[in-house]
Amino acid sequence: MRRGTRLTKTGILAAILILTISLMLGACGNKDKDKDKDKENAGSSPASSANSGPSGSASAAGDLPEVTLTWYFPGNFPQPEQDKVFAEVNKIVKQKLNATIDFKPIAFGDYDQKMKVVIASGEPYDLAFTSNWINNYSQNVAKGAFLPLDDLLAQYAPKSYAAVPANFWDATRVNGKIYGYINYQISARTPEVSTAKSLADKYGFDINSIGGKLSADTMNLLEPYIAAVKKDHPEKAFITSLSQISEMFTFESISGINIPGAVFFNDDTLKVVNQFETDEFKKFAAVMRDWNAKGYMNTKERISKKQDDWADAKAGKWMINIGGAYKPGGDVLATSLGGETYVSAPASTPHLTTNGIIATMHAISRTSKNPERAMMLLELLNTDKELFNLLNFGIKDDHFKLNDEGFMVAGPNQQAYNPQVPWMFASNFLAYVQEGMPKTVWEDTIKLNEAAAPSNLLGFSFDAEPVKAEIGKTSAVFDEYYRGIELGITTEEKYNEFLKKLKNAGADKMIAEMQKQIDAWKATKK
Amino acid sequence: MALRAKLPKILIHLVLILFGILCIIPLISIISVSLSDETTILKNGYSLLPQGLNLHAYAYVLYKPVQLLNALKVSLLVSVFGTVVSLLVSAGISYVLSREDYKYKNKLSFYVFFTMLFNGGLVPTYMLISKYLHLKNTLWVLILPYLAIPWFILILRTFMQKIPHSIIESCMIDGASELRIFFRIILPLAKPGLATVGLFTLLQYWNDWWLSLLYIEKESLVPLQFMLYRMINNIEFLTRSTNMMPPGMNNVVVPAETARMAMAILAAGPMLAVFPFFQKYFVSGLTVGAIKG
Repeated sequence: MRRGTRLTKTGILAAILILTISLMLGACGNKDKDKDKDKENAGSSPASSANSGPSGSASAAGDLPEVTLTWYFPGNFPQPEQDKVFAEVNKIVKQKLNATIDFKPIAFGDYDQKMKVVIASGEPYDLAFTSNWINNYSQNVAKGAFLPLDDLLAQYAPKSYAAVPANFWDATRVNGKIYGYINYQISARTPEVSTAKSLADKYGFDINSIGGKLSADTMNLLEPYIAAVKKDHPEKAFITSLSQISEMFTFESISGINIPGAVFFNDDTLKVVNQFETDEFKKFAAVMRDWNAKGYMNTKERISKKQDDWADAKAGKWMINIGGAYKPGGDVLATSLGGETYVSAPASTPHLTTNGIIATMHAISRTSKNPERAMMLLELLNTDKELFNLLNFGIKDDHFKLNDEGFMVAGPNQQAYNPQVPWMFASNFLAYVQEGMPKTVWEDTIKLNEAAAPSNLLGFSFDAEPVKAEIGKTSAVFDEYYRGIELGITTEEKYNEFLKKLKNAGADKMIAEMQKQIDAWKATKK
Repeated sequence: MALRAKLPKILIHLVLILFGILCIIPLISIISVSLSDETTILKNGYSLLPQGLNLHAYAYVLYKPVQLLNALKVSLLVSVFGTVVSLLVSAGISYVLSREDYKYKNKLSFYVFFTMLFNGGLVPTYMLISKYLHLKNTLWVLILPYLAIPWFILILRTFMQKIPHSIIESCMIDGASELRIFFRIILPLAKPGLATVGLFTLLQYWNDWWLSLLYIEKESLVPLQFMLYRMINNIEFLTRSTNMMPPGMNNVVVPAETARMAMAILAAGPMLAVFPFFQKYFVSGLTVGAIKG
């Protein structure tokens, strides 16, 4: 008898389990169906909104049918209170565009993988962040994942289209069409030289005196300062990273400094050379060798790491650093990273390159049901300062505050929302200026952009697909040797070995391919 | 005399003690780093004893711990519920496969085995789950895919094959229904096997971040491991591609060394507590696959 009751208990349990599963499954199914209905409604709208024509200004929200726009973007997400901020954003977007954004913030590390699957499966979405360093722009355009934007830009985003110089737009063109909406930011690139202000003051070093003057030939400008500091502070070292200073040389690396293939800025014939075989690069390696011999590098301690990071700066082990990218107000960032006041200057004269421009863009998906509404959203984000800053810094007086002079300062609750990717959401120049930066920082940046000498290769982007294997091999060789070169441990003999290994890895084949593509590009330009 | 007899024992113990220490050192150092002061860690590197004992890292991680607690809740829910249901399903299949008198035994076995070698591939699977089953952003997507894992089914089947068929027959003669035989006779007899597979399944659910990477976009459904994975992956990504990123990028605040360790402790903690309870069964269960009666 007892057995019998026990058995029914198990039986009942099993039955309940099965029932709950099916119930819950059913419930989920319904929810999704509802969502689909929403999507269908959304899907039926473009026709009517297209009828309403170019009047798509913010005030015309009433005439626009309701839509949901899906937006994938990378960043330091999740933020603890992102849902609260996104809800606020949606309130404004709803009112101005009668649209709701379905935010899909993805962590940096996952974004590539995620977008590959989303694009390959043909899943409908509207907007996605794209660039040359994440969710690769040219590969996606080649796959046909994005819509051409020329007409949409002219019709629905005239203001923000006009705000960005025409040669910037040209840099995004693939076969004559624009596929990427530029988030306007600093595109003139040169590394930044920075050092702690206390040190510079103590040893009478004026960083502006060397600003814009550094190159492989003029590294000795830094030497008096380094030698003087070194005497009193043996624990501090000269820091640089090969992968961050490619713009300091007088050539443009076509596919990153770690891949052989570069064109000199002053070379109108656009001849591709192997940057590691140039006299300039060899000279730089020789200077590093010399400095290591003089003990400026603290090699023993640094060799165990593949890369220096700012944590060491905080620990007081950095003397002067060349790396990152110079921008007006950059010393504020260095200060927050280094834990004390920093001064900074541009390493060399900045150049305007394709890579600097296509580093921050949005694309509209081929699978988007409402491309024109997506474009309207981009226009809104790039013209509505308040909305942009809401996304960027969070809710005013909670996550951030504006002080009396109009500078942005941290709010009481900043830790809950601070993604720190202004260039990700829209034009960087709409952001409130952070306290400590010059008030005119964005004007200065725009000036810098406009003053920068455009590279001869502006508008060319290299399609790496045909030489993928060689790229993998050569960058592996680079990985093996770069730390030794930047620390100055690599002897001349070793350096030649490095060059030989690059050759064996297919450097010449790659350079030939680059030359071929550049020649073809040059021909279409004329 | 006495010493001589003890010597081998002492040696063996020494070796085992050494091994034990080696196993526990990483754990201790993680705990100690998580309790240390950030700047001293940067200056002196890791150590076994906390330097400048404080709880800042935990305060940082647990500041607005909604996210962490929620992730913990999701992980627990998925792991416990998933393991129970998965055990029920796997035991069911394994039992059927272990029955000599089941006509389609071989065909079904092959069907199960086949999925171990071949599957649809990433993109088709993704399309099936997101487009046709509409499981994206539901808890189900974290549970269903691991309900029947072929390898565990085969382990359980081997275990159940050891149960003499005559027991089943005698139950039938006594008039027990199939369900009663399964729940009353087979499951209790297969307890060690179930415990082993249960632990494996639990670990599988607990350690999984892959499914959430693909199918979860809602913050409220992110499990703990995915949170952790995302953090580590982010740090790796940021150090790898700094040279390509737009300026301003290097001011990203990477969670500090101590905070990372604190996260690891918080994430691994629950499993550390669960493990000893299963250990009793674990040992007997592990030998199951090895000896075929």
